[in-house]
Amino acid sequence: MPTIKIDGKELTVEDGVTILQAALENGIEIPHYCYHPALRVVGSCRLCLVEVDNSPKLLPACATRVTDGMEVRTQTEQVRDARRSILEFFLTNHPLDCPICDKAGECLLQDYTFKYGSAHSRFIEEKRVRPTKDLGGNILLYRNRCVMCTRCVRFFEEVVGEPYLVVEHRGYHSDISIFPGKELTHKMTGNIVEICPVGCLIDKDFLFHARVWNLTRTKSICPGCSAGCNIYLEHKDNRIYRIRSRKNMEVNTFWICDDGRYIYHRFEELDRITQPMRRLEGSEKLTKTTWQEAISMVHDRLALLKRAKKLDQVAVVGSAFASNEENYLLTRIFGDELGCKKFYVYAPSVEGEDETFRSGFTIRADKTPNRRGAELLLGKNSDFWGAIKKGEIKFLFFLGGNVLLELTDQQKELLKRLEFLVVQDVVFTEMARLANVVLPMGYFAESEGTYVNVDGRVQRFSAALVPPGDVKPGVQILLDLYRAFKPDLKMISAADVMNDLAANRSEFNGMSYFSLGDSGEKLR
Amino acid sequence: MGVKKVGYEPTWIDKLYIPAILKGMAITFSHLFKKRYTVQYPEEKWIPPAGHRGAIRLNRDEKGRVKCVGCEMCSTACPAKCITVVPGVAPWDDREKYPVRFEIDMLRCILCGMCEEACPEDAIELTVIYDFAGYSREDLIWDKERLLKNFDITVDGKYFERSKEETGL
Ligand code: SF4
Ligand code: SF4
Ligand code: SF4
Ligand code: SF4
Ligand code: FES
Repeated sequence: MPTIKIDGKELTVEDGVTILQAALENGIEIPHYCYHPALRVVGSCRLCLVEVDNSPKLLPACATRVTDGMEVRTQTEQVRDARRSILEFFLTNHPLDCPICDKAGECLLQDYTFKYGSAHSRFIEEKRVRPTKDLGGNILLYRNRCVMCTRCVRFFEEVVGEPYLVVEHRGYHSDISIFPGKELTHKMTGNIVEICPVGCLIDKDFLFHARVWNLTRTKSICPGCSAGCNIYLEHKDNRIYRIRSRKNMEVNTFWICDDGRYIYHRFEELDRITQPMRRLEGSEKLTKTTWQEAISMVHDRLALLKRAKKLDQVAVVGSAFASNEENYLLTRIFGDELGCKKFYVYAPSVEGEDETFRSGFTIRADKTPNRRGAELLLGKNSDFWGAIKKGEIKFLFFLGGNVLLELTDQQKELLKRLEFLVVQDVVFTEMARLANVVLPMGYFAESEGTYVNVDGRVQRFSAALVPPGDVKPGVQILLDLYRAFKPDLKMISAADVMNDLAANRSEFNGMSYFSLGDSGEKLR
Repeated sequence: MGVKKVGYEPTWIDKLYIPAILKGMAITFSHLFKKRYTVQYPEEKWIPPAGHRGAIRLNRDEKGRVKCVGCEMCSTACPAKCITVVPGVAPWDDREKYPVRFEIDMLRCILCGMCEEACPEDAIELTVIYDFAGYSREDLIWDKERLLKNFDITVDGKYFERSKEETGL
């Protein structure tokens, strides 16, 4: 392991890394555009020039490997001068667009100019103006703003494995262009907006919607498939404005797919249940009620069945769309507290194939976020329909979470055979309409908890939004129900439930809500 | 401990009080012949000096459209956080972004002028208007139309010649 010095700071680094990697790894900033940790080094932007040993010329930090005893200087007059000049070149034809540029606030040209550039422009000539191009899909190319780092071009070649973009012409005339006949509708496209260091690639979905510094970032997990990509929910005024990828080298590395990126639209303008509902005996209609009433209706019914020794008629359906905490609480209430034995998992069958791209990034065919967790906690049986048909079930507790849930006519008929149906769900699904008690719960952005992804990694997501009306996060509803049976219950939050889960299930042994941190932990 | 007497010991003339009264009255009477500062507001309007920071206006561009591009610099700079901008795609070919909604809560505004300072487009400005009042809180949450109207009534420098009906204030 070579030992090097950067700005007088002695560092021991991995063999074969570049100066830039060594610096970034150790919290030393060297400005750069074309370097991206997931992409091939091209050394084209020249912004990362540094002074090395006695080399008469400045060397690009991104393309120079460290050698033992190397001495690097990043703050000398010569280096600053080079940076200032390079930034000046970038700005010669750059428009003064910041007020209407969505990148402003997270733009590396702004940041670097502010830190390393000059406050005045010496360029008095007319600027080159190139019209904005629509690249299809959700992408606009503001050509005037490009710094020609080719990150976007390399992304499609190296990460996706299917070239879409190309640099046309050379030198001054260089221009990002799309291959003829192609449109940027590829599922990985949204990532180029994130890796573009400037506001050249802009997402129409976010266009002019908000300034980035006004958005709050909440760490979450994409519920779009079982890959469990780490994401940021970026929100303001109780509304999500965009979703961005969150780096986790064990899961999604730097990327997310567009299904996940725009998934928040799925939860907008839904037919939300905003209050607990109940059906009066023999009535066709559901009527609004209070939480207290709804919970005691479920509790009383179960207590009745228990007294009549009919608990074998009770079945509980957990969900691959719900968190581990929610599914686990079902086992606590119905299993440990009441002694029910019939547990099922609602998880739609997997259709299609996983899609893997060149870098190994995979979009999973399983469109549920927590099949593994739910099956681990509740078993793999999902055929509750069969059991209802055989008349083995009279009381059903259904934990939903799939806002796209649809029922066949046959299934609706089967539900009518039940004596009592409790549905805990986000929207008025056909299932909820047939229920005796409906418990409205928040969707993933309104709740917190953990999911287990397809590789068995337990990951935490946090609540970004306040749910509408009387809606409560699923864990809180189930804790209320639990408390109805066990008034001295100590658990009050998802964290408590997770810690209880970790203590009682060997696969989760040694984990805690806190220890999961931002990047999660593998199942034992 | 010794006590030292300090201060003024009135003379017998002082104790008469008459000269002091006459002196005071002389000052009062002399003001009868000096320039008057009182303004018969509201019949008569006080004209503020240049640079006065009064109520806010949104400027129009050369085509009469709102000049603001919805960059939210003003709302970011505003220390009272009283500006709400909802930007969107402009309905015009020659401009990309504009404020779909633009509101200032004049009850919270402290007339500091930071917004004017921050605006990269010279789209927001403080005016001479100091005489704005409302009958409700809603009255003083000014929307884009009201702020553009402030431009129309102040741009020619004849705000104080306008009638109440015309200014709507
Ligand atoms: S790319 Fe950066 S510097 Fe250029 S207009 Fe956008 S925010 Fe400003
Ligand atoms: S569009 Fe963005 S990512 Fe692509 S070359 Fe230009 S600046 Fe780089
Ligand atoms: S004058 Fe000051 S307080 Fe009033 S809107 Fe402008 S920045 Fe805000
Ligand atoms: S700073 Fe100027 S251009 Fe930007 S939103 Fe405010 S008024 Fe509009
Ligand atoms: S980052 Fe080194 S040349 Fe661009």
